[in-house]
Amino acid sequence: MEDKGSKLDIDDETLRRIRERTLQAESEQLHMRRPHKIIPEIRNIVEEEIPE
Amino acid sequence: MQLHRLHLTNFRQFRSETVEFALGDDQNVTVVHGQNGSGKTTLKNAFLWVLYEESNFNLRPDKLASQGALAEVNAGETVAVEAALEFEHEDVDYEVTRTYEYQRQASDDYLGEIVDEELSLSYETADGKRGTRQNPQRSIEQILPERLSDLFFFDGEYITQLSEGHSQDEVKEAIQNIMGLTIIERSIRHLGEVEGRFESEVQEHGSSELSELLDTRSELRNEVEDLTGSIETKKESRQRLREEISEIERKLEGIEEAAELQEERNRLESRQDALQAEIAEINESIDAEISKKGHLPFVMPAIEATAQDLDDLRERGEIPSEVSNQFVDKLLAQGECICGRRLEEGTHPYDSVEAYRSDAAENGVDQAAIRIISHLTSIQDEQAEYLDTVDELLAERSDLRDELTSVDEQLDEIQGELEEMNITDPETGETPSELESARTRKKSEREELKREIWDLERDIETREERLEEIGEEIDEARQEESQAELARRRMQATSKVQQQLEASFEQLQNQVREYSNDLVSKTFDEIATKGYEAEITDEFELRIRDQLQGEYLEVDKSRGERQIASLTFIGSLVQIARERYESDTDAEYFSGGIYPIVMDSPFGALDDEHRRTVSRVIPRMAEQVVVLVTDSQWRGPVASEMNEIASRQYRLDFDEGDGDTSYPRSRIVEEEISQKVNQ
Repeated sequence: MEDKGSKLDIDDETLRRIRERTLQAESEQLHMRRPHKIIPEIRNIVEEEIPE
Repeated sequence: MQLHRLHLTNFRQFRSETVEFALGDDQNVTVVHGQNGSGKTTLKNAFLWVLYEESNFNLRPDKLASQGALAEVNAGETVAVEAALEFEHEDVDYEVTRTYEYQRQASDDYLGEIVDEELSLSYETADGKRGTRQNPQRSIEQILPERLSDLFFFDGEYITQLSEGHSQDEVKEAIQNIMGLTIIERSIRHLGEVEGRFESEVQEHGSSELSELLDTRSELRNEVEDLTGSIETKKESRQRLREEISEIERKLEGIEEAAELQEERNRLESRQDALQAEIAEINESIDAEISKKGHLPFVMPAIEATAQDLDDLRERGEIPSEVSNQFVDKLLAQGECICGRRLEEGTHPYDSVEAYRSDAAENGVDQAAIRIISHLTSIQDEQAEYLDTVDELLAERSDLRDELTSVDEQLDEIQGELEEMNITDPETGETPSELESARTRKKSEREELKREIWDLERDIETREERLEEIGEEIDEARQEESQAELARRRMQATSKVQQQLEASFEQLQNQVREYSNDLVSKTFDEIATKGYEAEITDEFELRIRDQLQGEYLEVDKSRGERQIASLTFIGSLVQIARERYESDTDAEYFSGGIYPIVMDSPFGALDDEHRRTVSRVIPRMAEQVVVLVTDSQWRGPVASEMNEIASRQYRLDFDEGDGDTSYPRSRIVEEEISQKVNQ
């Protein structure tokens, strides 16, 4: 089928940026027992690094 | 970070007291000793309150105001409770001051209510620049994170927790905190939740629909290809049959007796083709005519009824005649009728003409009615013309069909005659009868092939229509699939980052455990009871092993050694933080720092020998150590071990007051060098 086998691999640089930005977001809220809106923030990071 | 000075004002039993802390490589210990209840724990808690506003005090929670200070003010007046800590961090001098304003509510109120609070952090750089931090709490967090406070401001209870059996959780937590691993731990957990959300998105958009549609389209395309191939094959067969028929006809023309019949048949077949073409053309004309005007016969009854209704209305005067109001007005204005009579107002002719004006209908309606009636008339004409045209075409077609029937009959006769002609051709040995039979059979086969080709072409048409529909469905499904694909990529990236962090987490935790284990083992070996060794196991448990027996000791049999190991463990973490701070390499999660230690009652119920040993451990634990002990713990081996290195020593003088004219109060008295020696 022609549409199968599309690439899912994410390059290392993108993964590194997601990792760094996630850690940065967490570190900024580390003093809080329950980080504020951290899930949408991390999701946003991933969406920005892997755009449409 | 280096502690310089702590000043307390109206803070619990301290009215206005100051502690200055020991600095220096060899004399880095500050000792504050006093009887039970004199304020040692309050001093430790003062650090946590001024830095983090933590006030988890056992007694009078949140009530920090000095009773004596409150007693000195009237009801409604306020007392400022303040702690000011001066310290140095990275060559900048800071002073953090936290103040609560307590208001005395009544004459018998010795607790007060907080009415105002304030925090400030002022600084002075090495080159004399001064200022205050806009967000003091955040700045403090950056200098000494609150999550590390348990490691640097602790009491005997924490040491016991670390030293008891099954201490894995405490040891792990301490390691996680010192390494900043909490960031990674939270990131791993939160990335897992984000991954779950992307997974839901994949399920929402993804389906096997596109795959099925593409398979169907592929199958249909193959079928169309096969059908097209079949048509080509059949067309070739038809062409071959046509050539064979032509060959037979040439042979018939070559036989003298059959030649005339064959030539006549050629002529008739040409006429047959022409007639069929003409009939087809007429059929097209009839179709076109019906398509254009075929509705007229169906709507005519309704049109005629409408025209009749309008006519009736007009006759009854409910709709004006074709004479418009505008025309009547013009005649009346001119004063002359179209018949030549004078039209004067009040005369009968004037009234008669005026009666043509309609009060019921406006001019527009008048005109519209006239237009409708006129249009209805033209529709009737159109219908008549349409019926005439169709009749002519049908008559023409009927004539052609009659002629065609006649031609067909003549052809049948020729065929019959030829089939009965049994003269043998001397050249080929074939008779016209045999040739004609073969021709008839091949003609029949050719017709059959024509029908089959027509059926196949219909099959292709059906499939191509479906292919067009599927093309649109595929476009829609592909749009959905592309969103699912994007979500899948994001989910995979999230999962990969999570896995990377999990690997880092395990690796860092184990690295620190191994490093810490080396330090603990080494320090313990130097100072603790001979024959024992301390270890942080692979399971993160702090344990004491009997070197001779090679076995771990029970908690009860190694309590002293365990407490020593706990302190060396804390010391190892402080050292790791310092080494990371001084290291040139970029630490990814935690940049480390130089931190002091403030410990309350670290000696617990240890015997003299173990107290002496612990006293040797304490100066090694950090660059700066503050020890808060009871008088009884201080005396004897502890004092003799620590006198040399405790360059600042304080005694807490406590007066519990009579509760009437005097209230609990502690004074912090620095002891002179001579007094230290006498201890």
